[in-house]
Amino acid sequence: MKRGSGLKDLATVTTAPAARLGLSRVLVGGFTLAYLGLRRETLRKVVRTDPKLFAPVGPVKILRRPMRPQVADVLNDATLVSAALFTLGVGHRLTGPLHSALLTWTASYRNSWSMIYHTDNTLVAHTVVLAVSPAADAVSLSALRRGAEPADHPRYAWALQLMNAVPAVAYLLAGIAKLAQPRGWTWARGDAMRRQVALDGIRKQVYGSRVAPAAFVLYPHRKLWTAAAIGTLVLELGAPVALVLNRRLGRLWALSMFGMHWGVEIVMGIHFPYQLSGVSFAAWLDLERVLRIVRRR
Amino acid sequence: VNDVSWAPGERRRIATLGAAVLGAMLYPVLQNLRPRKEQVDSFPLSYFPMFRQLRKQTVRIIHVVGTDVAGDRHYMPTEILVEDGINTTRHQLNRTVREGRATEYAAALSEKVASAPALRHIVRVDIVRGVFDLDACLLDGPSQVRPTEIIEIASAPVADRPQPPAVEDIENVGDQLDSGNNSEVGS
Repeated sequence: MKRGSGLKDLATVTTAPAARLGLSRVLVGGFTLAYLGLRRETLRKVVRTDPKLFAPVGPVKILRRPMRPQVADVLNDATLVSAALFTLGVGHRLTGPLHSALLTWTASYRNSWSMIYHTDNTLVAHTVVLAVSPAADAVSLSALRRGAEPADHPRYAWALQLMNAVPAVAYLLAGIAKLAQPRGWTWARGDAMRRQVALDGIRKQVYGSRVAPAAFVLYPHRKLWTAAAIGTLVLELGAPVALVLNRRLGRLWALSMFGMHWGVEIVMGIHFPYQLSGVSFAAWLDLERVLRIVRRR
Repeated sequence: VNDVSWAPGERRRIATLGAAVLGAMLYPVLQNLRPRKEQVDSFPLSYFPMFRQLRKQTVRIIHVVGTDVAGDRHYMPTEILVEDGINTTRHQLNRTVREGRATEYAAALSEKVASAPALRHIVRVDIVRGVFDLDACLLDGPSQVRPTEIIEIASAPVADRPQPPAVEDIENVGDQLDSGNNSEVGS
């Protein structure tokens, strides 16, 4: 964006290059393609789970019982194809919303077997934003055919700003949930986090999985958990402030959240692929610089 | 900055879309105001209820153990139990027990064990509720993750294998568990 994204700039609407939004689409679409492609076999197993364990969520609530596994397989594969078209930016006005709808369905269906995972919420929301925005005006096959790249415009900035707002809202809700537990602000003492990590380690052990050794090493150090809990609350509840106050602060916040997810990975072994890849926070970056470097060469 | 042209209605459409996306994402926060038993989580819109739960010093975990012919219990390898993550399996197992279908679940699992060459020594699959003390489990490293109490829920023998002696006293049998040694299970 040409100016900072402070409150004043939000009101006057800043501009951003089409290539930045286009590259965000490429990253999000490319991530989805790899993520679902690698999980294709797992998804085939999931849709064959005992129908008695079916518990539909989100849009899948329109179903009273599971689809035939073959139909679910076709939809999973259709999502892969749409992800490829979305990444390439082919017919974005049609393929964007189509891919967004398919991804929302596929992810919701995967979460409709008695366990809701919260790892894909931001990916789905980002895809919705990109699908309804002019995200293929640049860095797409359609744009290649058109030739000239459009000028910087607020229509690209709002979509990027919305992409930054999506995880900020998710983290804010996570922060509110922590304070909404019966002991409220005492969550900041770190005991709840420490016990959660311990419980998670025990569950992994009894389910025969890999236990993160860091959980055992860090468990005795109470002060460390207090610091981690306070830091988490500051980052989560402060997310909206970082979003509107200053772009530099926003980037620092995004970097901190990126680090927090890696911390969760190391200490708890809980894998948030979209956040750990960094793609979740890519809209904060001046991605178009990469294109300039490539073109110079 | 503002000397740019907009298509008719474009700005209104953008404002509507932005408000719709953020409004939809924020909407689940209202779940926090509902009585606990009426709160419902969903996807892709969530209020992240896992952070709302109070964690106690002692926890009960329903899980599966394999029993060998000597009566020793072993944690089962994740490949046998899990198809889409530990948490899915855990939630599905909890639901199965809640709905009174634990024996059915154990029987299905015993068939998988029967066809797993690495689990030839397992003669019975047990679904149990283990009581764990967090400090006792965490302060002494992964090898000390063992329950202070095991409550039997359901069992299913592995077909065509000799059965272990019956366990008379089902309380305080945590020491029977071959804790944290999954490689032995697979050997």
